[in-house]
Amino acid sequence: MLSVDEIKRQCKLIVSGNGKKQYNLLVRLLPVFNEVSFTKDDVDNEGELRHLTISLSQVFNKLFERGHLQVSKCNNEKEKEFVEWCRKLYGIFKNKLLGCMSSIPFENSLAMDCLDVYMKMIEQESVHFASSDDVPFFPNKTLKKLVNTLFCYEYPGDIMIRTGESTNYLWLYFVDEYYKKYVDVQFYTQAELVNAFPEAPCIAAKWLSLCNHDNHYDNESADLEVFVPNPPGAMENESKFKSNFEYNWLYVLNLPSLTEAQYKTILLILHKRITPHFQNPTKLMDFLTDAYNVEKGVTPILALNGLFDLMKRYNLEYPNFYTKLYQLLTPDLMHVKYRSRFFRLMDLFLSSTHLSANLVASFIKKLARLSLDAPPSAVVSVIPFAYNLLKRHPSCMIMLHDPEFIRNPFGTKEENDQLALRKAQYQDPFDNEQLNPELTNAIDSSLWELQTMTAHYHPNVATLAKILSQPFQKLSYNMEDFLDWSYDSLLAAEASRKMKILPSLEFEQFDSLFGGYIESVKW
Amino acid sequence: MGGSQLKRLKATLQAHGLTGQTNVKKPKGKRPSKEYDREERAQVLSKIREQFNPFDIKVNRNKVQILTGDGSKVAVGKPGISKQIGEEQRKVAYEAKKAQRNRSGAVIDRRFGERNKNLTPEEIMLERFKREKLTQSRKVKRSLFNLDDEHDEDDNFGALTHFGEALPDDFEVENIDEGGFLAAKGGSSDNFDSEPPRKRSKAEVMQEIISKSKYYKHERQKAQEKLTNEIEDLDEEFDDIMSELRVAPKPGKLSLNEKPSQEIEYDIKVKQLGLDKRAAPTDRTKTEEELNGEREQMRKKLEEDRLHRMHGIYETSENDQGVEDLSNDFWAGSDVEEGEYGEFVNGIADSDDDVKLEDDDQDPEGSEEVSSHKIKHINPLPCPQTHDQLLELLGDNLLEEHPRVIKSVIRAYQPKLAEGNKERLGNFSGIILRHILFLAANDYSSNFEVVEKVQNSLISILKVMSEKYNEALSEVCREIITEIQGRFKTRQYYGLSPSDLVFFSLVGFLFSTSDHYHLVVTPCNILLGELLEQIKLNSYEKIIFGAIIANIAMTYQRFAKRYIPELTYFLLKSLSSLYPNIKVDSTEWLNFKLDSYELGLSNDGNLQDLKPTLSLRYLFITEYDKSTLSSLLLNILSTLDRSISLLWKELPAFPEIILRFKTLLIHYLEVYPNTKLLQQLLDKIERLLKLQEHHPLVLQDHKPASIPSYTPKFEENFNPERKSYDPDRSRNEINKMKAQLKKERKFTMKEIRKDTRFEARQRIDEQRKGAEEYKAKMARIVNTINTEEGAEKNKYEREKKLRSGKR
Repeated sequence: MLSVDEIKRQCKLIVSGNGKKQYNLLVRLLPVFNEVSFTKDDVDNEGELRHLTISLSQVFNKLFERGHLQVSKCNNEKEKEFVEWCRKLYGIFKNKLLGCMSSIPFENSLAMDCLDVYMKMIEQESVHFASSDDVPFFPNKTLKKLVNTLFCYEYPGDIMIRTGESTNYLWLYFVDEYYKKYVDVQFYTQAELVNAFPEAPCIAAKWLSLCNHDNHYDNESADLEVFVPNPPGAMENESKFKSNFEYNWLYVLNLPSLTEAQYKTILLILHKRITPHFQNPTKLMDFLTDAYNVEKGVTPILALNGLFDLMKRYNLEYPNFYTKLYQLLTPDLMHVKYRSRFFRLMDLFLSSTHLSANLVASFIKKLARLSLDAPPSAVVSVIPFAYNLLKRHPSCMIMLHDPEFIRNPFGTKEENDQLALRKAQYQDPFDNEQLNPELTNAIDSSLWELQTMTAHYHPNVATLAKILSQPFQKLSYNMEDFLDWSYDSLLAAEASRKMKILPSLEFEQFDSLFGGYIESVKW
Repeated sequence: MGGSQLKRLKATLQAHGLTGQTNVKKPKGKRPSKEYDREERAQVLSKIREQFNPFDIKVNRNKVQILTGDGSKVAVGKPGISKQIGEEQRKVAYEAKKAQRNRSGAVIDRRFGERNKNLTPEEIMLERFKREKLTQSRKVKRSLFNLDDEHDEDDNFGALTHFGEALPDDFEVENIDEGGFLAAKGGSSDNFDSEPPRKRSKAEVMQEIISKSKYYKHERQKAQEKLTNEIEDLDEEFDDIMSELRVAPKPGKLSLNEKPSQEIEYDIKVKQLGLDKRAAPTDRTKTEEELNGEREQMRKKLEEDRLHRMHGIYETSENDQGVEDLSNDFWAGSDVEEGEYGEFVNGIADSDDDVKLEDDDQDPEGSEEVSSHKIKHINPLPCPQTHDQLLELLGDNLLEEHPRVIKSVIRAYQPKLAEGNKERLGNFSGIILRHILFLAANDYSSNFEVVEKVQNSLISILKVMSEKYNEALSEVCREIITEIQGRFKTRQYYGLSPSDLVFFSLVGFLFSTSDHYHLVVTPCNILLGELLEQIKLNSYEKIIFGAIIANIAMTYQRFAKRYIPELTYFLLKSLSSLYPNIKVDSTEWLNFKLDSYELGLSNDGNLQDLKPTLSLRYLFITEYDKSTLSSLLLNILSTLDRSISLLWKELPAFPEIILRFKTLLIHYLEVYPNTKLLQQLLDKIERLLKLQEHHPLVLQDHKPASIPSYTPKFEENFNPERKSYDPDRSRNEINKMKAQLKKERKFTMKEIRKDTRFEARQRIDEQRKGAEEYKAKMARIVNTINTEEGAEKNKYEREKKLRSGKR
């Protein structure tokens, strides 16, 4: 390994010397990169390597300046031969940089420096490798090599388990520093990826972290710059970008290696960050329909959003939509994170007044049933939801109030007997297992579950549940006020309360805490 | 009536008896007074005049007559007359104005003695006051024009003045003298007794009284002044006098010494007796029954309060604080008083603020130690204000010693002993709580019997403390709740520890959990719900943790019987997870996702002979034997059993809640066919289901809301002439005022215009008059000249004739 001083001296010789003779030193300098080795979490000779990288980049900058890398400027055969040789050296340098980047299996700043130098080289190339001066040019092949290398570069633990996105530092660095900022880098990255995704196991993760942002090429509000000084005009073609982007997405979506977390992430961002950049969003239809038809889990809930988007804007028809929607009301629904998202959409779907009473009643009844083991935040959204539905579909009010069962205090004995008989004979006809909301008989049932909520342990929930037994005078409740509660916000509301009345004490005496007060538990 | 105007006039006059024979003889004696006659005649005449001059009266045609049906009220005006009156008034005003033109007026200063240098200001004021009083009294009593009044001359307006000075009045001299020399007159008046006393007028009497009172007042003032002066002098000299007095030997001591010692002793005894406390009857010792009755009543009251709180009715009045039953000064900081007497530690009686620990006597050593400290006025025990300080204090003490040390701290810092102790102990009660949790957080499996004993005694101390230091303790509880929440949020289950379970149990142990809203219990409930719902049941340890939480949450609701959905969720989930040989696909009857399918129990376990008791210690180990797991299952089942019979059976949705448990239990019974508990549970459920009335709700059985009706209001005494029937009184007034203002304004404008027109007319008249006068004058002059000229001419002619005739 050469020392820093040695590298400095040699590079200076190359740069300062007028003659081309000193270039031979490069042949000796470049193989130094092969010596990259690392012990645990540390690159050997990191300082020297960094110095070498920077110095060499300056050397090649000089070469660019001198025109020693441009074939077009050659006059005779000999010069051409020399330039070819120089370019070969340059190619080796680029390969060494890529090799250096992909060989370090942990987070290291040397690789980031290499990436920076490489991007600088791309900038130089765009100026000097054009067919003639001032002709716009983008070195897309060079970029492609870089992207391929980065796509293939991975180390253990660089994929976030929860979202399935890549947290590869080098990749994130590239995305944050170059891809998100520069419009031409975006355009050519997408263009080069078409039909040319490298074969690597973590493509999807990398792709997700590449695209999960709001600074896309065609975003109106995006604040983007141009990386190379003189980019080609082809880059302006927005539809080209869109179709490339779309093509690449579809490739990724069809990958068999997609994990569930990645599915979730994709579905979460679909309607905001994917469909708007598609040339033809209807191509997502199959993907979404498949996701929606998944039997269990949250996937269908998440797919609902994208599906709704397609239905609204692109006139997608989904047969038996409400049946499927009803089937989404599973016991797990109340306990998943995406509950409020689902409620928002369901509110939208059920806002039509042209739905059949059977259907609406089934939804209300099912939600009420689910609220029996739901957290208070879910109960809090179910009650006003049911209220709004009942208000919108007065024929469903029979679930809260069946006039046939009112006891008439002045009724004759006959009437009372009849009522008693009716009560005795009553059987709840609701079929909880029925999958078709039209056939559940919910309309003939009653909402005992919601009445039970008046005995909820949280005082506010209990009070809210009382709205169902009060006159329905309010036109509707604003669902937004009720959807985003959680244990945390409930507790925060409690913690901020001031002590006005002294908390009351237990006056009963118990022998001991455990065994006495709390039965069946010992110290 | 036909004929000409004149004829008609004549006829009318005759009809009224105004023309014709005037000297008709009238019957004597019945002749009315002449005056009346004339007046009547004038009235009649004016009436006749009006009648014959129809243009003098202007009658407004009534347009709304048809509507009202009332033609009697017709506005009648006499434009001619009113015009004439206006004209006359203007003329008067104009004349007055004209007379005042080019004149400057001056105010005559008629104030008494204003420029008289011989009188002192006091004299002037006195005189003025007198006069003012006089005029006022006169104004009230007499009319201005009553000539009989003898003192008219006193009137200011009638007084003679010269250059603004009152002229010396001969009659008044005496009076003035009287005011000035009252003292002398008092003596001399007796001398005139022989003379018939002249009847003095009221004014004179008044004057005399006034001047007398003035004089006396003056005297009093003088005396007062003198007194204050003396007092001031004395004040100034007081210090000197006192200093001299201090220097002077005390003669009193000598006299005291002279008393015989017996007397002194006697005095002392008398004083002591006076200071002795009177004997008072002690409270009668109550019988056992009475005590029981009292206790019963107290309990009843507490129960009632609890019920009120459960239904969300809070009574905030001072004497109704329910369980706390605090004396009024508990929070008012009565420390000041206590601090004052803090020195007399030994003699002080037990106060209401004392923390009475149950087993005071059981610890003679400790109390002796403490009492000896009290005598020395030193507290060698510091009162720990943080948990670290407490640990420091406990130092090397054995675990068993902890309650003793803590008790001695409490005793040493009884609130009556020193100021600020109350705050210290309040803080300390929070630290005891933290210490209990601290002890519970560490693995104590090795010596759990000791720990149990220590914890129980610490908890009983805390229970006693909680009654006094409720507020401080509640604050600490709220802090701990936030801490637990924070830990759970960042590290999920792994942030929790068994001490949290102890905390939740303690909250239920100390506070009333049945309240509709409770500052400590409500957040605890939420947190318990969160833990029940969000702990992933993927290990036995977590299920044990959850089972204990379920126990606690259920115990919280033992009185209020509120519904906890999370408890249902946990029971379902845990029972499903523990179901022997549970598999992902074999659970059609389960229909929800479990966190782990690895936790199924073996189906050969024996559930018969085990107790459903769980121990907190289990949480410190990760490997469980079969019997522990079986008792875990039994524990959950017993929680379910108690939930059904305690909490759920009265809920309207009981069948819906129980539905899934029923299927689960039936499946369990297949695996453990010999377990009585399961069979009992199922039987119980069936029984309760039969008992439950399950029929459609009638929640909206409200009284029908009446439709608001807006019938027009019938206005009695409707009057079309009234402009508005505005119900708003103030607006009505404002409108009235506005209309009035407008009217007045119009009227005033009219008047002003009339005035100016009149003035202009008057001016033209004057000019014309002047011009005519001038013309007449000139004509006269011309005339005289002409006559003179004519005379001269004639004369000349005659002369000429004469001369010519002579010739």
